[in-house]
Amino acid sequence: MIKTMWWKFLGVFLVLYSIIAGLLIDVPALPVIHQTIRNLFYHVPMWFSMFFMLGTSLVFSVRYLSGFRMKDDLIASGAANTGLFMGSLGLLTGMIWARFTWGDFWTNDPQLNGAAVSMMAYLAYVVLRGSIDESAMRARISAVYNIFAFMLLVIFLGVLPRLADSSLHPGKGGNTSTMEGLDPLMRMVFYPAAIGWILIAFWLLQLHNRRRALVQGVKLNNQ
Amino acid sequence: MESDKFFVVAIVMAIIFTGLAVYLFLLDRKLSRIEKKQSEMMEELKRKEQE
Amino acid sequence: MKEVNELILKDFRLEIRQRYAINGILLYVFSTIFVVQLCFGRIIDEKTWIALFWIILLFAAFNAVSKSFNQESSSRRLYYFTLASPLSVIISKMVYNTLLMLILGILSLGLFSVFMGMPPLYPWLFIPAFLLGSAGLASALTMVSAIASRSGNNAALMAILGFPIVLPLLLLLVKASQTSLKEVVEAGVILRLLSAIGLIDLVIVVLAVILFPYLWRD
Repeated sequence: MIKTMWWKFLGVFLVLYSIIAGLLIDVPALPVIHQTIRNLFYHVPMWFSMFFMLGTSLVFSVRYLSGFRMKDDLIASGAANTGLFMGSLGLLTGMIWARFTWGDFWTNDPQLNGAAVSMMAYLAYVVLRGSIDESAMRARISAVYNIFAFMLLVIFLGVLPRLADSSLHPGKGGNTSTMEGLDPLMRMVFYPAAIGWILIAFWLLQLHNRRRALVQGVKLNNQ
Repeated sequence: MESDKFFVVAIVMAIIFTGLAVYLFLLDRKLSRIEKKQSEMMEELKRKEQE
Repeated sequence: MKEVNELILKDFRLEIRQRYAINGILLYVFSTIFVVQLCFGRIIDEKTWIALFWIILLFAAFNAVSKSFNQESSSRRLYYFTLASPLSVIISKMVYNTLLMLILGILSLGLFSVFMGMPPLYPWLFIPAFLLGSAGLASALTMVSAIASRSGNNAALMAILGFPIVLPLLLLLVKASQTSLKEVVEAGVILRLLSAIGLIDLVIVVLAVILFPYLWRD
């Protein structure tokens, strides 16, 4: 059990550590956001895990198109669903954070718009899957859309923030890294939090896939 | 720090998250059991077919 | 190459023979712009002009391009499948739709300047951005319409699938048009915007060429 499940325990441990340490460490005093900077440990990992899930979805879509195995399609669609789940958590928490720091639930910010468009693309992916009945055809067409949408999202997220003049999120309009100005003590909590949540997301994905595999009778032999 | 009583919030959140994690863990175990049962059933079916 | 030419010619002839489709789109563009003129009146600020122009062009493109795989009913698609390679099919469709899109774009530019006047756009940025952008929009929507046509083929699905795909390009085009409102734009800025649009175009075309064979076969 330990052999196959160690990463799940690691994920739980890291997230627990980030919850406790994230509340207890001293954070630098900043204007406007004050103590809400602690949300960095809870809100941002949601986006990280969403992008890891969408990346997984892309990888398995490519694998499906190169081998046409139903297993790959199942994982690709499960990863898109899990990614959407993490993304909606990120969106909701972000909206609440934004309300109390920038004064509005929604601001016209390149990063926010990028996240919203990613969610739209993957909701469209789910709708597309729902509209095709035959399973092999559904797998093939949705894999094509997945690859097409993901590539354009990468451009969207990579190019547009650089062209924008200003952003409310840190690190934009000039330097490219979000993490450059981060306090070293906060890094000690933030990175474990991100890794922990990514592991938890993979756990959710695995549970989702195993359930679906049981229902559909597809074999997923490498747990 | 003492007067903030942040640690109370930390404990509450840690308990909630641990509860969720335990739930996920039990779900995982249950799924494993069902998977095992299913593969056993499949093998039995195969054996019967061969007979 | 010859195959591509033949296929473009075929699309062109089909369009001429079934004139109602192209007429419908032209009328659509005309009436939308007319409605905009009625709502906003002649005086309209430049940012609104740009936003309206691209939004109307985008919707016209959705209408025009969504038909491009409709005509290929399943039996006729099977027939093409035996005749032409998927590569030449997608390239011919993209070229044809780009031409259609340019015609629509020039028409709506003309109508906009008749009805609402023309803001002083810096031509060395706006014209190349317009050309590159039209080609990109047309190619992306061609691919989306190929995907939508394999799945029940309804217009709503086309819109849902298409918006997230064309949004990066659309935002860049609006950005480029707004930048071209200045009297003189530096060469560096022009180069940066155009190369970003060109990069998106390139990615769209390369992906379409790689992925289309998977859509085309049964």
